[in-house]
Amino acid sequence: MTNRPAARPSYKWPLMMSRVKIIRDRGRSKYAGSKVDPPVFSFATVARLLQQQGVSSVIYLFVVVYTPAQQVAVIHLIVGCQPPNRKTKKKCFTGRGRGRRRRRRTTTTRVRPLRPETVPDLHTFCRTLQKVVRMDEAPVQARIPPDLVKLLGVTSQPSSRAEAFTQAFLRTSIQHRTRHDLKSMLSHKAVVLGYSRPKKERAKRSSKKAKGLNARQKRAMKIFQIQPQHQRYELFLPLHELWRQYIIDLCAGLKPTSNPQLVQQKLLKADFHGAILTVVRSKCPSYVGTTGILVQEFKHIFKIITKEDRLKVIPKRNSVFAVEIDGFVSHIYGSKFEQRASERSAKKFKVRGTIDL
Amino acid sequence: MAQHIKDKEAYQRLNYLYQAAHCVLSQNPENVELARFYSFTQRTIARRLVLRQDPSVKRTLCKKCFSLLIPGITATTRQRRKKRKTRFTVMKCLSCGQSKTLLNNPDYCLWADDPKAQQDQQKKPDPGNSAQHQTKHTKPDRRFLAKILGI
Repeated sequence: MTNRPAARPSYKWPLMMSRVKIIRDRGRSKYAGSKVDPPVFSFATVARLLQQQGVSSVIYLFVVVYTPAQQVAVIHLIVGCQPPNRKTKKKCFTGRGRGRRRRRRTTTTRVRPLRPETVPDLHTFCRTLQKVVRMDEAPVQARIPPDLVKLLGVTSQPSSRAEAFTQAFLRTSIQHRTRHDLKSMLSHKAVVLGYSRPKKERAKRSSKKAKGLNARQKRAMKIFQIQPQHQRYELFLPLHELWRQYIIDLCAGLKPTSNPQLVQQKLLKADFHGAILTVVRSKCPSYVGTTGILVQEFKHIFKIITKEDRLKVIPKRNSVFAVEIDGFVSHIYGSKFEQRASERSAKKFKVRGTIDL
Repeated sequence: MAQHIKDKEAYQRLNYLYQAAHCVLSQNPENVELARFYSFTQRTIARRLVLRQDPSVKRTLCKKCFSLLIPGITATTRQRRKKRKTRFTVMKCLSCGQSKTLLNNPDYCLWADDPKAQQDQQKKPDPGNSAQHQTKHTKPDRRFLAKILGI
């Protein structure tokens, strides 16, 4: 078998063979240690050679390797072949005592043998392989059939949503090697000064119940972090829809039927997360006119996200807010609402003097 | 047992907060803090007014940090086994590390679903809100909606 250059060397990628006993010895040993580029074969040539050797089924794998300079993408085509008869197959001794009985399993997928004339070059081959692979993956990406939907109680999500979930899942499951990137490794070196074994927690058995958190832990977690930068106003619109349904259902009616008193009574105990608030009057004139969806309600403030995707913090005191539900506008005097959201439904309101702004 | 009107409103609020947490999480799966805030508010309301919640709702909330536990996003679910007893399902909250162990007993009957408990509460609260709160974002909640009110 001669190593002749390809008829059409359109791609200068070296072709590496593995697990093909016949070609390997002759191809690589000649070039081992030398500076010459290994021979370039077009795929047609390879297929023809393999066919000559009598190999019937071929399995192809692609590995894309980037050099450290990230400049050159080197594609190695690894060809694994299933030899036609078992005698030529090497037995692999793993050496664990039972090595004789262990055989290296070759992969068993059979692909129809590619004739050289059907595969003109590597590019087309890639495309055909992609098509084959996509056919196998199509059931994975298809939607759940409707009878299964009823059975399982779930529906398949649109692909954008599914992708967001997959990203989140991957981010939590994959370990992030923050300390192992090149720059930090080259600039810092961690030196171990001493060894100490961490003390094992013996108290695990005794405390099985969840003990709750102290204020320090609460502070570390519960608040919004830098997310509004990638959290947009549009994401809260469904929440607003949900809120509207909730309020309509709570009042059990709309404006023309029930008297305002009843509605207001209910609104006192209701929850405002997701409502669109507007500041109507306020002691501080810069707050007036701010509109947005309420995201969080704390003891003295409201956190609102405006249409420009800005998170605004508005204190409740000395302000009047307007909530609008389907034409029914109700004004909320913020000074009277200075309770935590949860306390408000437990608290009874007394009528005190009104505050004039 | 007559139902107070205030309790019904409170239950509706709890229900709404639970769904809002799911809705927010479905919009942006990385924003766990807001879902945590809503479930914290829900828990606090329930604690103040001493309201009973269905175990299926309680099981999806972490007791320590109040996150909404969704397997894959905020929590890890594993099946483990002890030699003597049957198998466990262990759900571990990813944010605080609190693990929740549930016994896999197919014959286990919850107290809320027990026929003896049904006799105590003859009059069930109104399922008025549960049917109308369905949006496509809170798809797993259809089963929980009715359960919050003890149906």
